[in-house]
Order: sequence, then C-alpha cells, then structure tokens
Amino acid sequence: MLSLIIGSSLLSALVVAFGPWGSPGAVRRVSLGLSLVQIGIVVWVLSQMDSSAGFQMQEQVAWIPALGSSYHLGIDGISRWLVALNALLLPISILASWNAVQKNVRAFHALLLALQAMVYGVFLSLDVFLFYLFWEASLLPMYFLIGVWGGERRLYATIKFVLYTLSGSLLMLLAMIWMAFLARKQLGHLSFDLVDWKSLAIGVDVQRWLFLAFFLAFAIKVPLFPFHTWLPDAHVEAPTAGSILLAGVLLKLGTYGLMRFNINLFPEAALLFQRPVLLLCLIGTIYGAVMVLVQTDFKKMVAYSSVSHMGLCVLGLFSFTLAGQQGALLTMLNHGISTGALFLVVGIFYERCHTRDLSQYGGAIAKMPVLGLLFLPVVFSSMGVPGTNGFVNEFLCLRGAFLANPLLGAAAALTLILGAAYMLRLTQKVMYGPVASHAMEELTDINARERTSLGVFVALIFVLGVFPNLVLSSTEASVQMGLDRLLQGQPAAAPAVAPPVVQGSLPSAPRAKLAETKGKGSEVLAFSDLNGAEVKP
Amino acid sequence: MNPVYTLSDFAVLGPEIACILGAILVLSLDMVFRSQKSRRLVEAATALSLLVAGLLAWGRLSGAPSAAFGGLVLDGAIADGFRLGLAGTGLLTLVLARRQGRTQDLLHAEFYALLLFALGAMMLITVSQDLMLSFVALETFSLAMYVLAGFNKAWHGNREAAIKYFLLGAFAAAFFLLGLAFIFGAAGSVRLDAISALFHGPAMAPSRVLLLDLGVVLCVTALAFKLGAAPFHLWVPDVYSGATTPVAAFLSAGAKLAGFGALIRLLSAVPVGQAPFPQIIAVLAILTLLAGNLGALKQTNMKRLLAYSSIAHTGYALVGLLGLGVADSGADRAVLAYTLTYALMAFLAFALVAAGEERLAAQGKSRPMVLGDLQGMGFEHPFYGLAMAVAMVSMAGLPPTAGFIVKFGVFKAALNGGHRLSAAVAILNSVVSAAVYLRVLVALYMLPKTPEGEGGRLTGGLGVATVALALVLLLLGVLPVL
Repeated sequence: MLSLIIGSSLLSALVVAFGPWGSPGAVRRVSLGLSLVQIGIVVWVLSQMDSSAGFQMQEQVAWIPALGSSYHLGIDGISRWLVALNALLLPISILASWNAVQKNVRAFHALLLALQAMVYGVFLSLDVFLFYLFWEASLLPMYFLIGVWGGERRLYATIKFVLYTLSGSLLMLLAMIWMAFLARKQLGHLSFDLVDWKSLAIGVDVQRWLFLAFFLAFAIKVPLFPFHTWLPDAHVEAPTAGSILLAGVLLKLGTYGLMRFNINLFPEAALLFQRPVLLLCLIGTIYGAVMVLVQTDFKKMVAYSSVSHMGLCVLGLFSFTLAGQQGALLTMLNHGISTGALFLVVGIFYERCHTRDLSQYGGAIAKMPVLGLLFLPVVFSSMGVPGTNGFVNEFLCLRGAFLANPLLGAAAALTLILGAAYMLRLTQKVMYGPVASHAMEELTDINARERTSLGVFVALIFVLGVFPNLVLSSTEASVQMGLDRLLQGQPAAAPAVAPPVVQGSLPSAPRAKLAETKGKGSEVLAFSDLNGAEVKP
Repeated sequence: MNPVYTLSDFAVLGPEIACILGAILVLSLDMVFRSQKSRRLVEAATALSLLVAGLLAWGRLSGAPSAAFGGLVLDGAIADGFRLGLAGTGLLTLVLARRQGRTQDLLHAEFYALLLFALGAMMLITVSQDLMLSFVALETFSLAMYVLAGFNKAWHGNREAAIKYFLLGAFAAAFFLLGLAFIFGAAGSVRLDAISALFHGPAMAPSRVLLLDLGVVLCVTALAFKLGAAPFHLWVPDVYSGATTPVAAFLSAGAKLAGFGALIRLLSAVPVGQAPFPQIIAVLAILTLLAGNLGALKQTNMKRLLAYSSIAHTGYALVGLLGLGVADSGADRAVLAYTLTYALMAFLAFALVAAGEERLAAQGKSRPMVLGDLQGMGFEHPFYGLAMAVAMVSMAGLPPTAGFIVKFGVFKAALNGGHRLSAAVAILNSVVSAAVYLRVLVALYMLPKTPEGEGGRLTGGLGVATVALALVLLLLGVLPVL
C-alpha cells in the first residue's frame, strides 16, 4: 500500500510529462486532479493505520542483495503526518502557480509531482540505501524548480542550494557505508536495513563520528544556525510553489532525519552532543527572529522566520522529553501549514505588485478585505497565539526545553516575544497604515482559487489549534518508544563498550528528567484544558 | 623443449584474435575494393569482428579463470568484464564515427583497422600476466592511439594534439621500461605470479624490497599517465579537444578500461595494503580528483570540459583501488563497474557533442562546440536536453542514475579497505564536480537561447544510441547489476 503512494505519485509525474495535453490549462487541470487523487490515496492508506508504536504496513522486496539493501517501506507515528502534509501541500502549490507560471508549464508540474514522489520515498523508506536514493533524488526537481522558474538571482540560489545540501549528504553517505560494515561485522552480512541497524551495538567513539556525519547532513537541510545561509536565497528566488514545498516538506526531511537516525541510532552520541546542539538551536531561534526584524524583503522575512521556527523545533527534539519531541513533531506539521500559508500570501501579493520590497507595501486591507481576514489567523499561528496551531507546538517545544534546562527554556521563550514583534510589524506594514505606493492602489482582492487554498490552511490552523490531540495521540507511542530507546533501552552490549564519558555529568540529567516527563505524560496529552490558558509573557 | 600450444590456449585469447583478424580483414577489403563502396564493407567487417570479440568475452565471463600460453595470460571474470567493455566501446566508437565520418574525414579503412588493433592490444593488456607482454600491448595500443589522435589534420589543433600525446606517451613508455628493469633486477622475472610469490615468500632484504617497490611504482606511473591521472594529466584536455569527437570518446573510455584493467592486474600481485602503495594511490586519487574537477569548473569548450571530467572520473576509480588490499572486498569489481559505467556516460556525452558539432558544421561554422551552444536547448529539443541531463546527472554521481550506484561502489570499496580519511576528502570532491555538471544543466535549461546558439538534433543511429544509453543509465541507477 505504501508503494501505491510513491508509485501513483511518480506515475502522475510521468503522465503529466508525456501525456497528450494540448494546452497549459489542461496540464494544470490534470495535475490538480492527480494531486487530489493523491490526497485520496494517502487518506485511505493512513486511515488503515493504528496508533501503535512500531512500523506498520511494511513491504519488503529483495532489491540489491549484494549490498544487503532491500526495497523496504514502512510507516509509523512519526512519518504518517509528514506524509499527509506532503500530500496536502501539492494541490495548493499547483493552485498557487496557476497564473504565476506561464512558461514550460508541463515540465513545471511534472517536476512538482516528481518532487512529491521523492519526498514520500524519504519518509517511507526503512532501507537506508533507498532512503538516500530518494533523499538525493529530491534535490534535482527543486534544483530545476528554482533554477528555471525562479527570480532574478535564481542561478546563484539554486546552485548554492544543491551544493550546500550535497556537501552534507555526501559525508552522510560515507557514514552509511560505515554502518553497513558495522552490520556485517556484527550480523554477518552487509545491511542497510534500519531495523537491523537499530540492533547494532556501536561504541561511543564510533557513534560520535557517525552522529556528526548524519547531523551535518540534516542540520544543513533543517537548516540549523551556522548552516542556514542557503535558505534565504533559495526561498527568495524560488517560485511560490517551490517556496511552499521547500518550507513545507523539504526542511522537514532534515528534522525527520535527526529524529529517525541521529537520535534513534546513536543514542549515546546524541546524549553527548545534546548541549552543543541545544545551544546551536537556541542561537538559531533567536538569531532567525532578530534577522526577520531587520529585513526589508517580504519573502526574506518569511524565510528567516523559518530559520527561527525550525530552530525551536530541533530544540524540542533535542530536549529528549516527550513534550519536547511531540512538540517538535507538531512543529514540523504546523510550520508546513503556517509558513506555507505565508509564502502563499507573499506569492499573491507578488503576482499583483511585482515587488517584495516592504517599503512599497501598506494599506492593503482596504483593497483586499478577504485576504486581510484570512491573513490574520496565519499571522497568529506563526506568532503562536492560543487557539491556533502554532501555540500548541511552541508551548510543547518550550516546555521540553524547560524540562531539559530551565535557563534554556527561559531563553528560548524570547522567541515568542520576537515572533510577535516581527509578525505584527509585518501585518501592520502590509495590511494597515497609509497606502504606500501606486502598486497598492490597483490591488484586487483574492479570487476563488486563492480563497480556497488559503481557506484550507486557515481551517487547518484552527482545527489543529483546538484539537492537537488528533495528531498527538497517534504519534505518542512512536515518540515514546524512541525516547525509551534513547534514555535506557540501549542494546545489551552497549554498556560494555561505553567509555567513561557516558557516566559523566552530561547524560545523567536527561535520564533523571525522563522520570519526570513520564509522570507528566498524561498532563501533556490532556491538552485541551491548556488551550485557553494565558502563557504569553 | 618447445612448448606446444593447444586450441584452448588460443580460445583464451579469442577476443584479441577476433580484433586482430578483423583489422587484417578490413585492410584487405580496402585493398581489394578501393572504392567508395568498400566503406560499407569495412564498417560491417569492423562491427562483425567487434561483435565476435564481445561475444567471446561474454562467453568466458562466467567460466573459471584459465591460464594459457604457459601462464603468460590468464583471464577471469574481471578481465573478461574489461574485455567485454572494450568491445562495446569499439562498437560505440563505430556508431559515432559513422555519423561524423563525412564531416571529420574518417572515411578511411585505416581508421577502422587502427581502432581494431588498438582494441586488440587493450584487451591483451587486461589478461596479461607478464609485464613484458603488457609493455608490448601498451605500446601497440598507444601507437594506434597516437595515429588516431592525429587522424584529421584539418581539425582544430589536431596535429598539436597528436605530437603532444606522442611525446609524453613516449616518456611514459620509458618509465614503464625502467620499472620493468628494476623489477627484473629484484625478482629475476617480470611474471606477475613470480613477483607475487616473492612478496608473499620469506622476508627479503630491504634494498631488494625497495628496488621491487620502485619498479612497481614506476609501472604504476606509466599507467597513470595513460589514464590521465594527476600529475600526469596535462595532455588530456589538449588531446581531447584536438582529436575528433569519436576518437576523444574512444580515448576517454577505452584508455580507462585498459588502464584500470592493467592496474588491477599489477596491483593484485603486490601487497597493496602495505606502505607505500595505499599512500601513493590515495595521493594520486585525490590529486586527480582535484585537478579534474577544479579544471573542469572553468571550461566553456565542451570537449575540454569532458576531458577534465574524464580526469576526475579516473580519480574516482582510483579511490576504488584503495580497497584492493582487503580479501574479498569486491574492489576490483567496483572499479570495473565504475569504468564500464563511465564508458556509457562518456559516449552519451560525446555523442551529444557530436550532434552539436554536426549542427555547427551544417551552418558552416568551423569552431568547437561551447557551453553557450547548449543555451536554451533543454526545452527547445526535449530529447536532446533530457539525454544531456541524464549524462550530466550521472557524471555528477547523483541518483537515480548509474553514476551514483558505481560511485557508491568505489567508496564502499575504499571504506572496506579502511581508508576513511581519503574517502572523505575524495567524496567532498563530488561537491565540486556537481558544480561542474550543474553548469551544463544551467546552460541547457536556465539560460535563454543565444541568437547563434545551436544544440543538435538526434536522428538516425546517433539518436537511437543516445536515447538507449540514457535509458540504460537510468535503469542501472534503479536496478543495478552488482
């Protein structure tokens, strides 16, 4: 069934690319139809899942026996919502490019669908070789999307995007081969299977290098603080659909990888590197937010807010608490929705004004009342106002950070203030105030197509804001299992090889916190009570 | 007593014999018919002998290694793989030469005869167990190559290329001979099995080991020259851009197959896991990667770009050799797979360049194809664009193409040999190489068409060959044969 998801998406790409479509309009309609069918398939498949912890609906077929690599797919609580997000964002991206993309329409839509297929592949692969294949293959569609349909500096941006990502993932490839050899040593055969890899006992000395190699690849993708410089360029130059997918799902490949590989496979190294990683996340969160405040480019503001939000997401992830990791998972989903919506709005404005310079904006609400109405929830979601989805995940991430280290939590909470500051400034500048330029006077309100796509986002913002348990209840078991493995359930042989470093002061703190978190698990999940609570500083 | 050779001895050398007989047949046909009509016959004879050679190599592929001529030659799965690849390379060269023959003055029987002689000698070097025989084979195919490189005197820089190639090649030959002398002095034999026995036998005096090592290193140097490995690579761009396109493609793919076939043979006779061999290979590999990738970054002439890319690919294959010292590492297989796949990629790329040159020639422009000629071609000629894109993505080693799978293979072999640092440095070179090939994609799809820009049209045999090669590269990327 999982093959059906990837296969139908890939087939759709081929149908769009080589089908007998006469006009660009036909290509758009066919792609939209196929992407909606895709949503149907994904909903149907996901509805067959239960909320247990392990991998479900596994499929395994021999593929490259010489490498110990098989075509192995599976889904669990961590990947299910990311798959859903990937399905959701495609039709919206197609709608967003309806008028914006006028040249090479067929290739554009085929690439969107191919990108979707590759991303499905990354989320669903349980074989790491297969994972890497999809991971790298997802670079190419985005390379073309930015490079062919992007803005003025698109060539610079797209080459930077590919080279940055590539430099991280190539080292990860070496680490993967190393892991396969470790498997050969311990299991007697080469293996790239994630399930096999989890059973390996790896000494901390080796774990450290493997962790770093994987971490670099994912940190560049997320992107975490010192590795983020490709992101603003790529976002600013990408077409709207590219930005939505880049922020919506491609960045999640990084956080997903951190969760699936770094934390799950190298628990001791993860504990060892917890503090430096948390520090990077903290810097990134604050730095991203401050950078938003000084931007004059509409799209760049949204891009830097992504850096800030994703920093917070990884902060939750590396807090090694249930609350934090659940929050991180929710952030992946919610950031896809709220930032996707923000990029959509940027695209709507850009189509009408042909500028991203904020000084040209002002007083849009007079001309675009409907957009103004739908824009507010998006802003609130990005700020983390209670009642919207953004509140829940920010709260959970900060709670996780606070449990890991109160000082850290307090410092990270600064992002709430900064977030409110920049989002309100943005809204004020664009929507309210005097009409700033000639371009603003000729604005027309959003049409039915734009209303639909933005409306879907707004609806999700409220639904997930009020009922976060829709997601959280189905992810909890998987997240908890990962945490258990991280904090105590290490392979039997591990303590024997673990050098004294592990017994140092670092890991004992999170271990103690586990008990604390476990006790509060029920509290975390009974979230609906907290929704009305006022936590804004 | 005079040795008596049986039929089975000759059977081992079947592919080589097919090539040499084919070459003689081609020359005789040309002498008898001496007319324009003979061209068809000559082509058919060449194709036939290459097919026979390929089939004979294919037939031996799964059999047990068998020695012949008193141990002078020894085949085996790896050597037969190289021989099969060489026969395929010859056929692909034929396709290119057929297409470009008229414009590039290749319509002479001598061209086909030289091609067959070169291929026969290249095959011989991959099965040779005796370094003296290797030297003869090396010189035979080198001489044929020198002439092939200078075949079209009217082509840009053709004579300069041939002379440069010849002079530097002569130096390399001298290195090989000197190495042979050292090895003979230390081992009393130039047979690989004797050298191997010496290394694995009782401990030798240090001076003797030094002499032996020095001899092997000199031979490696000569082969590195033929492969275009840095720092012996400076001839490559000049020769490729000066030679006609079919010859350049043949040089890049054929020389790589023969060179690595010989290198694997030579290195498997010495303790390749011990100093100084891993260090030498690692330094050679990394220098070659740097020289190839950094050199390619600045090129605008398509053939020069492909020449530097050919250097870089030699570097990747050298990385795979690092795994040779470990038993059962599959390093030889990985290098074989890499060079075979490189041959496919190189022919695809050169065929597309040939199509572009054809267009230029049709417009009466006498200049080499440059990157700018590709501008805007991706959407204007979708199949040409897609084929070029597949070639570039595969050369960059990105999935879902065969280039990724084989690159993965050589790095796996190197890690298996325990060379983590070298592998890490080498793999980071892929970032630079990605930049090289992305530039081609940028020109194809992301830059506007220039007024005089011309890609090419894919028609006839060339069209079939390119589309087939592109599909094979994609297919092998998803369903690799390992």
